[in-house]
Amino acid sequence: MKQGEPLLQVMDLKTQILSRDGGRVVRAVDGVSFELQRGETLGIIGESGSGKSMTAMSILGILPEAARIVGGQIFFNGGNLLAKSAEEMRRLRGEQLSMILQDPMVSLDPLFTIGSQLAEPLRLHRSLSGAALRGRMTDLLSAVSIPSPEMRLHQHPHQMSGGMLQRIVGAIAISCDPQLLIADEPTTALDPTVQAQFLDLLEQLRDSKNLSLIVVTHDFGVAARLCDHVMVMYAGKIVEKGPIREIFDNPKHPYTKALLASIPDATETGNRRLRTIEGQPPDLSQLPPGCPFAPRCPSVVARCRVEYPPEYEIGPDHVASCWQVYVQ
Amino acid sequence: MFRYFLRRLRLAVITVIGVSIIVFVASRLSGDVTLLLMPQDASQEELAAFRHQLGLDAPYYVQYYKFVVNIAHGDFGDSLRYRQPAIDLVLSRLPATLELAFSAFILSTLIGLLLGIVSARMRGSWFDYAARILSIAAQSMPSFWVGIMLILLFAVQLHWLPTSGAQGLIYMVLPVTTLALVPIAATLRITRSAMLETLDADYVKFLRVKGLSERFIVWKHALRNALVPVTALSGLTLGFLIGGTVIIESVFAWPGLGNLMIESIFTRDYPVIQAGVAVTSVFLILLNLGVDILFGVIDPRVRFD
Repeated sequence: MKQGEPLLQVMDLKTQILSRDGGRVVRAVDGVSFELQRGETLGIIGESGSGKSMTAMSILGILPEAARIVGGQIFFNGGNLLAKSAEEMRRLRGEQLSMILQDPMVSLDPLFTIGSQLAEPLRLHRSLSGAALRGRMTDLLSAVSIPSPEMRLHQHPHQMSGGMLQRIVGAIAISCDPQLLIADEPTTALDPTVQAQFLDLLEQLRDSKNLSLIVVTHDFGVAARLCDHVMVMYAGKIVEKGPIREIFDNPKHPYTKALLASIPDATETGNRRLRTIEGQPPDLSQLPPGCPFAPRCPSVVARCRVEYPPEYEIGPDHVASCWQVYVQ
Repeated sequence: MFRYFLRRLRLAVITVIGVSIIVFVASRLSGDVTLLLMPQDASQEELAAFRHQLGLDAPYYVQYYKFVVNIAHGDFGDSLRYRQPAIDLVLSRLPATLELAFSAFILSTLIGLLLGIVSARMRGSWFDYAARILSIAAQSMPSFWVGIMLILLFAVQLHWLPTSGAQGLIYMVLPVTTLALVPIAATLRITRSAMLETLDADYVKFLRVKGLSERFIVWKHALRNALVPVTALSGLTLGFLIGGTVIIESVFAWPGLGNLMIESIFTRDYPVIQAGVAVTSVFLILLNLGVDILFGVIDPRVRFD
């Protein structure tokens, strides 16, 4: 493989969800393109229903039954994931591609011990058994700072706290040293004190294992902690992407600006109301022509309602899709 | 797990005591036994003497105490019709009933689970619709009618199977089928919905993330999770089956406890009725204790408080 080739390259990905009667098509992911370099961390930011998680599930090939990838390409290590059979994808999952889900309390099967659930990928992908398997499992639990791992292996999920479970889920996700780890809202279900610990852990795992990381989040704080680059999604489209500092210091898309403005500021005094974005996220099965953010946009112009804006380059690696940027 | 077992056992003992009180009270609610047993022209003195002889003139708590002591010794009194210990009669008929009930239970659990899993895996297919429609039909038809229809079709018209009696395995086919239909349907439906719910759960998504095969996920994880509600149902199913044999046995002239109970009710052979009710109750309580323990084995969350 060539040096400098990105680990993951998503090109014009389109994922749709068919409603049960088959009548309505929800464009959950609508022409998303991005690249992820080895060892890099990319943040996908957006509100619920913006297509962040669907993008992640499309990459892993674990979409719900009603969802279909209808267009685009996903290159991983140079091979097109969408051209692979279900069986080939299954063998990649857990081995080279892995994921941490949002809620650790429901990510593990309540009826099986931690040990048996941690052993599954190691048996499957690494053919470990016996003492080697046990040794690897205790090492993994130690790596995610679980005290007395030997004992924990014999316990069930309900005997553990949320923070501990998320670390165990993390240990399972990285058990076979994957090249790409997707963390889907990894801290949303955790207490604030535990959130910081888990972010530390993710950072440490990424650096020690040379993982490439995609962090799906609605929290700019999480993105700022971990990410090199971020992309902001709205209604299944990427509206702006760029290096994290650029996005923070020089946001161009009105939606990015509005998201940044809605972060509560701890240093501010007085009783200012939290700033929100007016209006509702659009119905993805009945998108208006033009820019989907237009109905909520403070700087909307006539053209926004007619035609979707192309990507404009603002700086190195920094692009935004907005007619306002074009005007400037 | 042991403490969980002790808790369940304590509950079982309390239930047995409750049952003994109900049997005791119910048998005394059905009217004055002496009037039934003595000749119609017996004098008040004769009746009083007979009551005293049976101990029926003692205070209720004394009567209950004696009743319990006798039961503890396995003494339910003699059958009024057969002139032999009621408990012996009941125990001699019990195996035939259990044969029917357990065969139907095993059959319904296996078939119900299998069809439920296939139905869930093929959701929305013709098989799924057929299974659901047939199971609703099976649950809405009264079993005595189903029994008679099966006799009409397979015994009277086709001559494939005997109409009634109990002279070998072939005689069990129709009664067991009749008895199993409702629990098959119930097990199918609960397995299907539990399976669908499980396969939709986040932890199944995470199992897929690990790269496990769909077959492995279904047969190891989803099945065990689906077994939790199915196990809960099986306690009810056993009760339904053992109670249900009363009707099925009289339809198929099966020489079991159910038939004996119906005869005894018609002839007011109340020691036999009491013994029958007590034995089936205790038996069901023990079975449910077994189900509770199985619950603890399948679901670790149940074992802890």
